[in-house]
Amino acid sequence: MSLILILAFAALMVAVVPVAHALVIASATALLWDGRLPLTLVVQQMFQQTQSFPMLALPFFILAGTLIMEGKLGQELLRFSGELMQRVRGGALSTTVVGSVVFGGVSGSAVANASALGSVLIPWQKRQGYPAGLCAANNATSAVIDILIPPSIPMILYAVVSGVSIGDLFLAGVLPGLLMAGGFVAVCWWNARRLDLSTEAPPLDIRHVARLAMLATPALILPVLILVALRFGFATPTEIAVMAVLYALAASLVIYRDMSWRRFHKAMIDAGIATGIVMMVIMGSAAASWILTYDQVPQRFAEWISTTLREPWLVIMAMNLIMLAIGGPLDLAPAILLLAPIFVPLAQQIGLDPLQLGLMMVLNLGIGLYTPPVGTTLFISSTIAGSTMGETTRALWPYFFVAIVLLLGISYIPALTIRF
Amino acid sequence: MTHPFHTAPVASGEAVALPQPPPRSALLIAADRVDRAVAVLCRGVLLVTGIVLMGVLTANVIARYVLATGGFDWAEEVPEQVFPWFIMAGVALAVQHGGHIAVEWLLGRLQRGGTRIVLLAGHALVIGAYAFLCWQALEVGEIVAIERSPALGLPKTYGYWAIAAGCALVALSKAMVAVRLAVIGPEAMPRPSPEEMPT
Repeated sequence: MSLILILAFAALMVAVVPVAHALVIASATALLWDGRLPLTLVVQQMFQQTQSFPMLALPFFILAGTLIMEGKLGQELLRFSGELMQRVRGGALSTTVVGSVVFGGVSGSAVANASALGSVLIPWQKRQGYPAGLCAANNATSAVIDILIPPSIPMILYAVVSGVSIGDLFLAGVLPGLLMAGGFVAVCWWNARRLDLSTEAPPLDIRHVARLAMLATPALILPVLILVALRFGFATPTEIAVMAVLYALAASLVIYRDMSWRRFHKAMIDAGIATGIVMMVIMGSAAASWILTYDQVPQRFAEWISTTLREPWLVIMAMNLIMLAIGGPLDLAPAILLLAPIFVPLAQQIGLDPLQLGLMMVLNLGIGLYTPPVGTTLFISSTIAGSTMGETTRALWPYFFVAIVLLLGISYIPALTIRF
Repeated sequence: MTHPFHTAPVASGEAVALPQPPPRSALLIAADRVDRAVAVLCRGVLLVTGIVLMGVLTANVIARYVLATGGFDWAEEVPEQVFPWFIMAGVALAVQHGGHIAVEWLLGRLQRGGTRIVLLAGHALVIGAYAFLCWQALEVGEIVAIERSPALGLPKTYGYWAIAAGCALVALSKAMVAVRLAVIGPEAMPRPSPEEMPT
């Protein structure tokens, strides 16, 4: 039954059927082929996912992020990041990196980040003399920092599939996110030096910086509030997501005075569509996972790979290579939902902490977002910059190097993934 | 979002005269009308259910710290009933916006005619599958009518109706995309905005 499922899924993917629908149809095909189990199982599995309370966090974290990023609060965040970085060599590029860190604290989506920051910063960076391909590569890669800094939509997905606490994953993502940002700032500095580009910013005005910091504070403290609330158990992750929306609404209404019914309406619809996209993949993968588990595929795969490769470090390397290969063509959400049920038992078998695997998976599949030729942030950034895929890809290599070094670090140094 | 830095010159652009679109066929006008009706329905459902979910979850957090009972016993049951409607409205709207993620490797290797055929075949398959799923969801909904939630006494049927309605709307929206694909060609495929992309 699993073989039919995999073959049907692969055929449907090649035929450009969306992943979520391909999972549903492939599952139904496998059940029809086998004939022993009722077809209603697909609908039952789909329905079951809509009853998941932690999944309710998804629309509300997306909504909070949209409300902040598209309002004055988002502009203040960006102004603050720019003011911090524009006097450093390569500062125009680094603004995107720092912007991704601070936007990462309010948004959980790398794609939204790439679009929001890229549309504002890339034209400015090009006018500063940076090549279009480099601006696009910098934007595409930096956006992935967003999904390492809490709140993170991919981490919520992994948590629901693996059973790892959302709070633990959120906290564990902070250090890798900051390390990646540090590495990327170094790449920006190196690029500016290589291109012999210096900064032309006005002298530092401490009072101006302090004023910008104050205006950006409501957004800057949001990730801290989320982590504290999770750590001390004030509310469930879902309730905290709703609180984040109320916080964004209150900040927009009281401090920035830019909230309107029209803006709220649009943000809610965008959040609903994004939730629909993710939830449909979750619903489809639930039916497929049920079939794979029924056939004991994850357990057999875990046994086979651990007896074939034997050494845990080799198994971890193999997992990383598989994720890198799958993360290229497949989007992050379906890749997590398909791989986590198979890799979590394998990780447990070799003594790898599922929390560490979660970070590995999010970072690894995040690299897929800017892997040519189909990476989503790569495509968005190249379009905004007006660069060819070749130009952007050539500028990607130093960023790839930093990301791969960090990936290896997370894979083999458990201390990099902090637990509560 | 406006430009944040004083170093940047203000971008300006002149209005560009766009070519007049060709007259639309009756089929396309009908498809637009169906899409509009589905969109109005789904947007309404998203807004109402989203606000209800926010209200219930907020009230429960407040009640947990204010009431001696530690929150409302129905607070988890309302999302169980409402969330499926929110999800399925989003799923159907995502079809109209071209949001559901696909691997488009093959399309880059086909001519326009081939692309149209592949896309139409995929759409036909999805329409058939979701019409079938709609029927299945209604069947299961009838079976689970006897299962009632402990606090509110609501049957699970309503959640399955949400799945059925969502599947029907997915099939309908896919059919409208297929109409445009057949009449206009592959360029009629909808593309999502980045704000609608979840990851």
